[in-house]
Amino acid sequence: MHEPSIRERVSKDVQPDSGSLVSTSTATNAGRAAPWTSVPSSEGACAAPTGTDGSSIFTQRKQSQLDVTYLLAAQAKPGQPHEVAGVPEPEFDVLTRFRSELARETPAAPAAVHVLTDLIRCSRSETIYGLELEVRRACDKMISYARSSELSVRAACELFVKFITRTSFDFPDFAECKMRLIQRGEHFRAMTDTCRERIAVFGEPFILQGSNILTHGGSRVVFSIIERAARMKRKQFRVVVVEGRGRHDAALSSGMTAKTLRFCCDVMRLGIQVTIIPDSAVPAAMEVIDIVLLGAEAIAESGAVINQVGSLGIALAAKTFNVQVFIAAESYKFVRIYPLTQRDISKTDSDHAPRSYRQMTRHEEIPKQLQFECPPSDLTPGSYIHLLITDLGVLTPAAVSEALMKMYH
Amino acid sequence: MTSRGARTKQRLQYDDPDAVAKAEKRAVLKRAPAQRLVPLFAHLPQLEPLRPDATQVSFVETSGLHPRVVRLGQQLAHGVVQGGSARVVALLLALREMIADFEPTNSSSTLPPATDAAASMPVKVSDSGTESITETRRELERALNRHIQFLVDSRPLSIAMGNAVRFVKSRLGIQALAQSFLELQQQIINDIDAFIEERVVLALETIFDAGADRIRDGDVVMTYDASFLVESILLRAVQKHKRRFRVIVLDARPRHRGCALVHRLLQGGVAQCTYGLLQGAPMLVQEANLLLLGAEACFSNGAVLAAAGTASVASLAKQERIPVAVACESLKFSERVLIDSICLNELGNPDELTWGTWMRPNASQVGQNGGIQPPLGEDWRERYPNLKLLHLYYDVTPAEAVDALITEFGLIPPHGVAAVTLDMG
Repeated sequence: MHEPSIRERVSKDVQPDSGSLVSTSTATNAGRAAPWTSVPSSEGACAAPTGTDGSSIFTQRKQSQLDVTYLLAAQAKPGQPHEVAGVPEPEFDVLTRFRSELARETPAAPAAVHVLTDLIRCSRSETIYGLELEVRRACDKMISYARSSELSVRAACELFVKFITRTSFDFPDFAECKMRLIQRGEHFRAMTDTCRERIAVFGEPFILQGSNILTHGGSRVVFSIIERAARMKRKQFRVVVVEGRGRHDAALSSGMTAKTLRFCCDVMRLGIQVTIIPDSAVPAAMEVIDIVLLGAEAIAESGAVINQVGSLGIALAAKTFNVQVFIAAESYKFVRIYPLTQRDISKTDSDHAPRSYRQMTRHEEIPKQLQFECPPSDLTPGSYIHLLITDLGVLTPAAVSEALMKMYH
Repeated sequence: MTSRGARTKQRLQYDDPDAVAKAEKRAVLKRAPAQRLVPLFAHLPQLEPLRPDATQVSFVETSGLHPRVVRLGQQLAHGVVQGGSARVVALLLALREMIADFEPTNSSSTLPPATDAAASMPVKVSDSGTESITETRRELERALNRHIQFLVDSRPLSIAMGNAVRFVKSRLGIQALAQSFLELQQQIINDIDAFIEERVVLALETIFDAGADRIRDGDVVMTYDASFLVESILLRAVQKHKRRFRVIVLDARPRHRGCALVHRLLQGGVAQCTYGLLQGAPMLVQEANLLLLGAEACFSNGAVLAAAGTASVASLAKQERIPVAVACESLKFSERVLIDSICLNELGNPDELTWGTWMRPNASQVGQNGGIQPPLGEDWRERYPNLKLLHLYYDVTPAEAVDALITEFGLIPPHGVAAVTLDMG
């Protein structure tokens, strides 16, 4: 009976601490409000470069670039341009809806499906083809907006479009088909809402009393596992968080991203001790780590995991020290891609092109020629991963392809 | 017999005298066993090669066989038709023709208009109609088995050919739906056509595009031996996707098929080619950034059966952390498990190994030319009583050494073979 109150007190004690951590870490841009309090993570990532480069231009350019490719694709296929012109631009603003979904803490892929479901509900198209075209356009917009979770949004969109085609075969009547699509969208929504809870149930037994857990990237799914272990099962353990320097928004401040920082604060509120270590200290710390628990941006068909840069290094160190690596991810992050090398997932955005290190750090003594470059994510092959904790259950990396095949056929 | 039953049937072990004696009774084409058996591989068929001067199979053996099938048997035995995909298509086309030309002995059921009209109207006549169809179907099945046995005697069937034969046989079982024998015949022919179209033509098209998509400008692609799929992927990447890349072709004795591959690639517009032998692989593999291989068959534990030497190249690439992709259509998938190269393999003509240099005359001239003598001598059997020559066609690359299979379902991990075969089975 006493325990909860103690825990509450601890968490209350911790809170001011987390506040001080916040203020020190964002000392360089203290003028701004703490980004994790009001702005959601992906929005924050988008907004961060505004001060330096003007990201609004960047997003515009991306979108226009996408329109060009879209037009080119339409040109390549004879007959399509007419239909493209025939479909009126829907009044439904996809990006605004998507943004507001993300603001509500919805993960990107379910958010995309919510938007698409609503789009179909509001759509004035009277043919399946028109509907599909509209959905495809919306998909392209959201994919280009999603950035770090681009892959999972792409996968969700692909599945959704595939489902439209399949439903249109089964239900030739348009009204019924539309109704089925909306139903399916709602069903997906209900499924994804409970995704994290199920993962937490599956993943919680892997956290042992008194163990040290290393994590990286501030994944919400990892947090849900930790939360369950701490809150429901009253386990005591330590969490070691890797700083995750390298992101562009991170390089501006102390090195930690807003997402990681928020993760740390949330975990500390549970009364769990959190230690931040720099990326360079990962191998040194691995000696005392019991398990590595990471999230994922996407899981490829080969069982390889795409995650925030640094994950591969952690997995390599873990393999050397015989520490088990677990990946916690929702099954909608399974993507039908097959990257063989790091090159296969590198994005050619201008955002990740090399830029001057001096400009990045605002450090005048650094020679101008020094370039800074950092890929947003890296690829950890399945051979470095012990188990995947998903809402479908605990899988081996080899089982991903089977799960994907079931999903797509 | 159901297709499931056929699958689980054990392969004939040639070191089991009882089984061999039984099989010899079944055999359509009688062939002499090899004079010099290689002991570890005694369970595989080791037969005297059909010599060019003894090519003509006797009239008695081929009586009642379709000429197209007889010709295919000869082509298979002499290696005129070779390569996984070509052999399957040739087999299906030959069987298709054989079924199309098949004439049942009892002519009662071959009166299509009468039975057709009768079958649709009253029940009685259709009963007798189906009975005669069943009879004719059995006759066709017997004939089909005999033709297939002849092909097996000419050269053991590959996994893909086994899958194709199983498909054709399963089509025979649909007689319940057919009203007359002609209809059944037509259905089987249509099914075979659709099978070729779907499982070979379209599958290969998808594989070519999926494979060519992986090749980027500036890549160095390495391949070993000549695979039709790999060749087509490379040419597709050059001609359709306009990629510029270098190809390293590794080759090995005794067939040296890579030579011709290099020629065709250069003709097809590949910018740069390097030709090397298997001995040079450890050095050349460091220059490559993709190893693209063909396969004879893939097994459900992810093992890949491919031209002998593939396993060593793949393990070299694995050691150098170079991605290994194997192009293989799902027709070549088997739901069996294979763990070594001994259980399932094929032995080639040992005489091919006696030639030391690759500049040897055409295979069909061996024995006829008195001028050029191979270093070991054509009479190695008499001169060296203790010498045994082992000419293995295939070896097994374990799943760990393969990063991806390029199939018509896109790229899948080698362990995905099990999921695909289960899905289709």
